[in-house]
Amino acid sequence: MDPLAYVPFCGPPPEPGALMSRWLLDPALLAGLAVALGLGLWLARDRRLMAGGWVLVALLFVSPLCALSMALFSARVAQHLMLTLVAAPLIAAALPSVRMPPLAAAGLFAAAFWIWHAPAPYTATLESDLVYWAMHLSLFGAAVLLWSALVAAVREAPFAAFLAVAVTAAQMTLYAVLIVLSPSVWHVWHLSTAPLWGLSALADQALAGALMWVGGGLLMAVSVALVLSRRFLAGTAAGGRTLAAQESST
Amino acid sequence: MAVTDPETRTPYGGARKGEPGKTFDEIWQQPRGLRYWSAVSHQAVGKRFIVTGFCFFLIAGVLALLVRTQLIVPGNTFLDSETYNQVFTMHGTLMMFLFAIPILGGFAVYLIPMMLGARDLIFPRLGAFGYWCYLFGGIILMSSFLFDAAPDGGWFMYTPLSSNEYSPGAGPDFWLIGITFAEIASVATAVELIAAILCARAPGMSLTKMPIFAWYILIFAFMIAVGFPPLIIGSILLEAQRLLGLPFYDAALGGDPLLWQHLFWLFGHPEVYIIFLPAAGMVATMLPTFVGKPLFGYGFVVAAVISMGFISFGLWAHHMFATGLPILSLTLFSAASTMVAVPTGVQIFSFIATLAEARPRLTVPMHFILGFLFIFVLGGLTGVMLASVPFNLQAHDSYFVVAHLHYVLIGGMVFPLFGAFYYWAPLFTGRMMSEVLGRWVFWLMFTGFNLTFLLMHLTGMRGMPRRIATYPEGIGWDRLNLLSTLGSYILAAGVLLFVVDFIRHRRVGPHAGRNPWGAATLEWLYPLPNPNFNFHAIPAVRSREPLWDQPELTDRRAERIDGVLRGTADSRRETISCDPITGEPIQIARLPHPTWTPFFAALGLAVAFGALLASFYWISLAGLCFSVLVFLLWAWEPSDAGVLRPDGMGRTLPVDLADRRSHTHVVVVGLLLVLFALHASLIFGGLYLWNVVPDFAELTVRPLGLPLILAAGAALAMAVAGTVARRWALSERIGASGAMSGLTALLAAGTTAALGWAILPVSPFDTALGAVIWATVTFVAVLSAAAVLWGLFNLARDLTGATRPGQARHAFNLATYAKGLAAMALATAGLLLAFALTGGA
Amino acid sequence: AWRRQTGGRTWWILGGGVVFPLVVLALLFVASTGVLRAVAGGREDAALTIEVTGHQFWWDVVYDPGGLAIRDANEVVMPVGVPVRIVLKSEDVIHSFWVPKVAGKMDMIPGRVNETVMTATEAGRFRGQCAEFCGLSHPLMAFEMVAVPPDHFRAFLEDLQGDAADVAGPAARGREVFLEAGCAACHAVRGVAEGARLGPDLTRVGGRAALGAGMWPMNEGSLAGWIADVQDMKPGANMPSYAHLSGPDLRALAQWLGSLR
Repeated sequence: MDPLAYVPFCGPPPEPGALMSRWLLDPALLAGLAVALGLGLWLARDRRLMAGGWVLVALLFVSPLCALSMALFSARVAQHLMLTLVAAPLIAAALPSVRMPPLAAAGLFAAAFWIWHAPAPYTATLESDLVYWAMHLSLFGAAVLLWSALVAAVREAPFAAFLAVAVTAAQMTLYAVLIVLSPSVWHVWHLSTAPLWGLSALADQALAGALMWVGGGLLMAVSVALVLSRRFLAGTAAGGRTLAAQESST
Repeated sequence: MAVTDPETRTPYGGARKGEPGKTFDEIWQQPRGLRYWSAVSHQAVGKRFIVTGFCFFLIAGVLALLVRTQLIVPGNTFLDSETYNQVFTMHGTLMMFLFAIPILGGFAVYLIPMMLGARDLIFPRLGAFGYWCYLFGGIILMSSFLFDAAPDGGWFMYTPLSSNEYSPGAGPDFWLIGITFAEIASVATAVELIAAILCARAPGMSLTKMPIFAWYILIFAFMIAVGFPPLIIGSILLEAQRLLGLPFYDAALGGDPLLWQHLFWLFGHPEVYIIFLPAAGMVATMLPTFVGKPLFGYGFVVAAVISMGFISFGLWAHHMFATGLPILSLTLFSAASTMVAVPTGVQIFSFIATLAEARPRLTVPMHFILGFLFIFVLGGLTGVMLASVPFNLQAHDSYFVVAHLHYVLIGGMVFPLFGAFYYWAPLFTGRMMSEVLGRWVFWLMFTGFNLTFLLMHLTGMRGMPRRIATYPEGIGWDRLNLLSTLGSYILAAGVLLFVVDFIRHRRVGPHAGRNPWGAATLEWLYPLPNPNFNFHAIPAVRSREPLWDQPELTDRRAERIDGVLRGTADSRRETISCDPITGEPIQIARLPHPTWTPFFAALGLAVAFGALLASFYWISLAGLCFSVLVFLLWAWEPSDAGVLRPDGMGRTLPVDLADRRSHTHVVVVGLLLVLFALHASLIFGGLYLWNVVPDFAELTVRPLGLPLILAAGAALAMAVAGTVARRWALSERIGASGAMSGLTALLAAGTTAALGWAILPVSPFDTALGAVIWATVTFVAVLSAAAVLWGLFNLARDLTGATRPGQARHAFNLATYAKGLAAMALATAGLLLAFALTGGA
Repeated sequence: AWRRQTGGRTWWILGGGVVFPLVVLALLFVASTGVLRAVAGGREDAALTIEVTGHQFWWDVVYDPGGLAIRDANEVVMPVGVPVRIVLKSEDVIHSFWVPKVAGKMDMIPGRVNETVMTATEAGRFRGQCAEFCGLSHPLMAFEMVAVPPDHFRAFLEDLQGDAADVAGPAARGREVFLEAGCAACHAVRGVAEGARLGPDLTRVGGRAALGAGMWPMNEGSLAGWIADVQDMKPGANMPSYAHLSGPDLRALAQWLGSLR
């Protein structure tokens, strides 16, 4: 496949030298973000968290990271980790929570995660803007839903919430392990783009997997601790004390 | 909640009467003579675990002495290679599987109810069942010596060395079957401990007021529930390869020996922390007693323990640095491996900070705590060294690693354990062990240990690999090995002196009285030895250190202390059960009286496993059926749920509630956690082979698409039917609920049938991937069979009138199980469909 | 409330348990990544490839300069100062290739091919040993890595390519015994019996410093003892003991083998 036959949303894969000039100030994107901000602030219970989450999302798409993710799968993974494990919990904590069985939400997120990171759909996102946005919106939406369901369930069904967290951590680690250990390149697009950055596509993929395995695991642990410990311990008598401990230790 | 009208609900005619005519003390009396073995109370089961575990420790210790004696001089012929390999394999296996986990589990089983204010564990029969599985598994493994077929492939059993081709004898079979059996015990005990800690605490003991030991054990139990399944699956697959020729790990048919290593270390890495955590919990419990101040930084320690449990599961790759993982990922694994130093550091510094609060009393347990700090910190430092990739590539599989792991395990687990024996012995026997002999024990062990293992770091740096029966003279290993061997004899002398002291103290040790150490936790509330019921009335708790902060507990005689459930209302054993988070009482839980069911359930399994070893498959099947039958009898027990009773402190509580927070539901969720982990291990195996050996994945015949879609539909319908059955049971439509349970059973069978139909064209013998597909569907089929039994069981109860108004637990819990099973069936069908859609032959 | 209760000593736990390890670990990480790059680098400029295959309990060694596959066993000769690509395979169970004084270890796994690059920085003989438990005689699976100056190495390769030298006298009888006793079913001696790969290549067996995969000094006496008594010296090896050979035959065979260098 020729990566230049179609210009993907974030532009063609950049050379290392040109990366810093690749801020993406696409009017449609900016307009979409602005609308999302307005809507989010209108709905939010906690506007500071909402604003924080929004800034992160905006950065993930406007900054050169978006362009870099056209060249390196590891950059794409970094983008998705920040999106689903940092921005999503922030926004989920800011919005009124959605009541949904946490395991069902975890299943939905797992399905979105695996489908969009499987070879064929992944390639499709690089061949059509529509698919690209379908991917990010569904992935991000599923992530927000999952975190929202976790926040809602942690008091009433802590075990289901615990299971959902375990399932999510396990399935993401599983994906990471597979791409680290794979002897072949999953996403053929990067066969020609990763070498621009001095990495073989296989090394880029292993790096992506290791990032997800290690970085993703740590991010997940921190997010779970922060989002859930607040709710989980709030109801117990000595909660305040332990909460302070957890917050200052993470 | 179904219970509405307390006045009309009296105990049903069908419900057990307990033991009318007996006093409270008599009801809780341990049976005597042969019937002692039918006791299921936590005190009996905990002691059995501890004593049996210690016996395995002594056996494994003797094996270690044989190893050291063989290595005392170069070219020694004391043991031949074959015996040596058996000896070191069994040493590792016994220590890891039959000593460390079970004895720690035993301490937890013994101490947790007393510390939390419960009369017993909340599922005593599960604990007893676990003990018998453990004992029978251990006996199966040890019997290999009788048949001269002791396993000799190392405790890690790497394949293909453990395959039929390179180990044609029965050694690996003994190992795989015995260990899997013993692991079932660990998992059963873990699930039981989770339920006990979450559901049976004294009134007012919220999670944040739990003794720190309970937090450690809670995480320990969760880690076992998630960490043991990969090895259980790995072992079953390896045994299936040996017995049936399914090529899971056979490189010639698209298997991969590294798959075993992944599954093994996915278990093996958390295992280290599983062993460390309860021991650290013992230290965190003993230390405040001798310092006289509460543990410093309780919140930090809890956070550290939780994150330790979390992190440890992602790190197994660091046991495999030399297997050829991508270089770029090695650096990240290396970084991640060292991250465990942070939660460990938090715990250690919190211990040190506690020590700094006041001058500690230098008792024998305190000696062992200081020894632990010294040795474990050194082990942690060498651990950080090993996490560095270039260093690891040199030190891996050398004596440096042997030294490191003994520093971590003996320092981190054995020293606290011996301290714990000195500390809690009065609880077991009512007498104190000797302070004088104890000091000798400590110094002998400490000196011997450091002499043995400190030098091994050097031996390893000089290039001595592990697991070698002999070594050549004159390459710099001779003197170090001689000294290590001498050290091991000194260490052994210390352990021997401990045994002497323990036997001695049971006769002549001074009586302990009440709370001999001045401790703060509830297990010391009563004069020693503790009564079998633990508490006459279960006191309300307002502090993490109740015996220090609540004078009403200590200023009167123990049996006069106020609390809930004083005595017994209807001649039955019972305890209070609480909301998992706040600790507020929500129900009264009935506890079983002595019974043989756990013994026979385990015996049936033992026959099944033993006959498998001898290749008598029909006997094996008969044993299994017998076991299932006993389980059904066990579960059938008439219930008196639905009754309301005053608790003696102003509340009116239901008996055996059907609710999410109830202990029976918690145990179902715990069980699902284990099953998810088992299923995920199989899924991992399949995806791993599909990905790593793509040529053979291409050769594998694809499953049929249509039946997979049917299976997914049936699975969803099963979850819905189960949920409807729950709803109808809660609204007391008993007949309709029974019908829905029947439908759930039918749909579970349908799910399995559809999955089986889908994979009919796939051959399990041609490729490893095909074998894994069959294994995964078989797993779902076994779980479905359980759902079928359960659904029919509920239907039968509803039809025979065994279900009374207000009783919905059986349908309530089946709904949760059906949802979990549906999730696994859906994941299986989805992945098989994805595989079917990718073409192939 | 938290701070008041704990006094100022929270810093002790946070500083000692979190900050201190993180700083130390970060430094260690940077340092060890640097070392790793140095160790793992040079894969591209490795001019020479040596393929080593693990067997229970010996090493098959193939030198592959520019496509010539020259087979030898149980000794790895390397030029000093030149990065050498070592390709590692296994024929049966998992072994691990380790020469402590030269480089870290790398596993040899059936069905897989691992690669590592090693550079000997000084000339000398270095003991290597199998580092992964591989069965009964795992402790007896050693070898020697011999690092020689590059010109010596070229001479060694030239020498290695030739057939086994013709011999006369009692040693010639040894060659007959070799063929009669069926040794050639497993062992190759170039120019005498070729193709068999079940056992080590013996073309220059007498030239190796050690016998039995790096275990015993090489001389005619130990060769004869080895052939008659393999199963005692190396339990579990695939070669049976040839105790039934007559004394003179055994001596002749040992003499002939000792002369192959």
